[in-house]
Amino acid sequence: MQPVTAQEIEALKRQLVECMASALEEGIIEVEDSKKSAQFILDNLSSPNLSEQQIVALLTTMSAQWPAYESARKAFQSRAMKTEDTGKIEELKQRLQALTAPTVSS
Amino acid sequence: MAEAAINATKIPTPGFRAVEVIGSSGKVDFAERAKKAQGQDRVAAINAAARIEQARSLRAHLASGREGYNMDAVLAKMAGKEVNSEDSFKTERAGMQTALTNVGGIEEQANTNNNGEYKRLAEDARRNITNAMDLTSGMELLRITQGTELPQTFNWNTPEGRKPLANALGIPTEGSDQAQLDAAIHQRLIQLATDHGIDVNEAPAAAGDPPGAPKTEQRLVEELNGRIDRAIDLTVTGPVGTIVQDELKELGFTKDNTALTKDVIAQLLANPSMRAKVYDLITKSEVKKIGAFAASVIVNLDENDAAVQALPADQKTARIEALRKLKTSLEGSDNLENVASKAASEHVKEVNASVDQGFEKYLTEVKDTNLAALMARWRDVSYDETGKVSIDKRTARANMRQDLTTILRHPDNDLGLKIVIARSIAESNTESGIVLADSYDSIDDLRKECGPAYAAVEQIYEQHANEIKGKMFQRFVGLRGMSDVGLINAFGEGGLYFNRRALEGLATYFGDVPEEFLRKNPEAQKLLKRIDKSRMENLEGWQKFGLWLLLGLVVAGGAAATAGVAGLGAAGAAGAAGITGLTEASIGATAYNIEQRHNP
Repeated sequence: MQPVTAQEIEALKRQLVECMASALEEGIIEVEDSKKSAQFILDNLSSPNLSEQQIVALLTTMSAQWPAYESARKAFQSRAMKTEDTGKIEELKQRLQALTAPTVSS
Repeated sequence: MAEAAINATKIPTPGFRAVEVIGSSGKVDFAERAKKAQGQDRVAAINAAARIEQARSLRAHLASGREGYNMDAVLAKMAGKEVNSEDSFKTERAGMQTALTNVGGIEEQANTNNNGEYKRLAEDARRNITNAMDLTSGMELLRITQGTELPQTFNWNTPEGRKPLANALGIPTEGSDQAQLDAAIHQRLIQLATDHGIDVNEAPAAAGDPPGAPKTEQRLVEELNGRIDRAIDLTVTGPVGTIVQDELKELGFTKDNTALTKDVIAQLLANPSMRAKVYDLITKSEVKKIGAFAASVIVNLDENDAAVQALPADQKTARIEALRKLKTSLEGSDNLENVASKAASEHVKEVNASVDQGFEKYLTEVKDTNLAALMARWRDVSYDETGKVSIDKRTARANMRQDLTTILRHPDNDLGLKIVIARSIAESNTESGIVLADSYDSIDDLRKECGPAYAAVEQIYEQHANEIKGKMFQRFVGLRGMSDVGLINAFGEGGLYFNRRALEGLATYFGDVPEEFLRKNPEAQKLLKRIDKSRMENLEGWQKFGLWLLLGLVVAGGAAATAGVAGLGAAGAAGAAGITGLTEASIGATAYNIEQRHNP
């Protein structure tokens, strides 16, 4: 499984910060909890070579504790599933191509 | 009596807060109300403002749109981490030291010329800069100790006893023996004392003597705490202290409130984000003073001054060079003043805006709370403080019966519903100034009895009448139910058994609730469906026939459906032996009518 790139992690963090800002504006999260969640993101999303599954697990834990981040979890999870599906389709295509490729006669 | 109640300084309940903040004028001035809010109101408004402020700060970072902007820095700031704070503290302190050196140059010039004006200006500048340095020092120590003074009383003899100090200094204690902990504490205290300009040795016995003995750890702790205390004192006497004192006066603390102000400020400074704001406000103000001083001195610095010209040639050249250098340095401060002044004014504007926004949001929440209190009269399920559920159908039904009777009794200008709203506020908060009475004969009577708080009743009515009607109808149908007719009848007047005429009146009254106030509540819609189904199952054959006929009319008649309900009620009444069946049909039809509007 390919690790998620640094740019993708940065984009995810940006999305989480956007969730945080909206939640603060709407009163869904208090300042103290927003700080704790910011620390959680820093502590857990800064490790190198995180896989999509690991990130999904982290986002699940996070959104269970602070529902304000649920939309970010869903978005990332669907993106992860899409990547997985694309990989499988690609793999399938290659197999089909291998099967249908003309046999080289000697 | 009502006004006295409104002005009471007790901690307000949600209902009281709504009455208080919505006010007798019926017009909401958020900024004004924010200033006057008390107790829990103030706390809630400040919390809301803090949220808005934090969100605003985040939005500003997100909107900066810089390529490759580092989100970790934003998150670290959010989490209350100050990146390289010790380094920035040292840089700031070094800058202030330079400013002090500049002042030394001016003092020298003033002494040479015996210029009283310069002396006075230099004295002011030295005080301002020293204050700014002390403040910076105390704030940085508060950051390190997370908002409190270092513990001074503990047992020095065991590692356990020293843990509080180690913790406050951010030294890990796990796995350290006493000697290691001693060394770490000692080293940290020496480092802090050096960074903050505190001598690590006692004063020499006499001038010219070598430094005295090294200061003990306890002595260093006392001096570092002295810096924190000094920072708090400076805050009390600075612009933030003035703001706090004004607020305390607003709250009725009109006598000497210096000690209280100090306590409030100590609490404020324990909060990192508040500390950052206070620090910003004060340092900008101090920088402004220093800048103003520098500007005034630049105008007066004169290398052609007679005293300078009178110096021997070599000294004269050196002095003129020093004056030019000083002028260049101070001109930098002049620019600083402009920047600081603008920044300070922008900052205050931003803080005010966020408080206004926060309070506006808070008021909306309070209004919702008040509305919820009203609905709670008809809710048969409630939760106590521990979250335990209790079911009290009897009270909910009694309340519903009382409110419906009031509505039927006072149809003119919807006086009945206004009385119901007033009753709810009066019950949820006895401080509201609203007299709890079953009925009033006119709007004027109601207004008179409620006093200034009547405006709150009107406002809730104007904004939420249809929503209240929608909820009330849903609850009425729900509470009345069909499976426990015997139980309802057993309660008699306390239950929800109404005669035919009353039920028809209610069906007409609730028939025009706009659908948007029912669509919001899918649970209520489900309930209406279920009740309707249950009703059909329980009705006698002739009743079913009447209801199906009615439903047909409703579907065919569209907007005229409600009239059809009344018509059927009348027709049924004429032909039926049992009144109950017809009235049930009337209610059921209204339920169906509402449902049809959702699911045509």
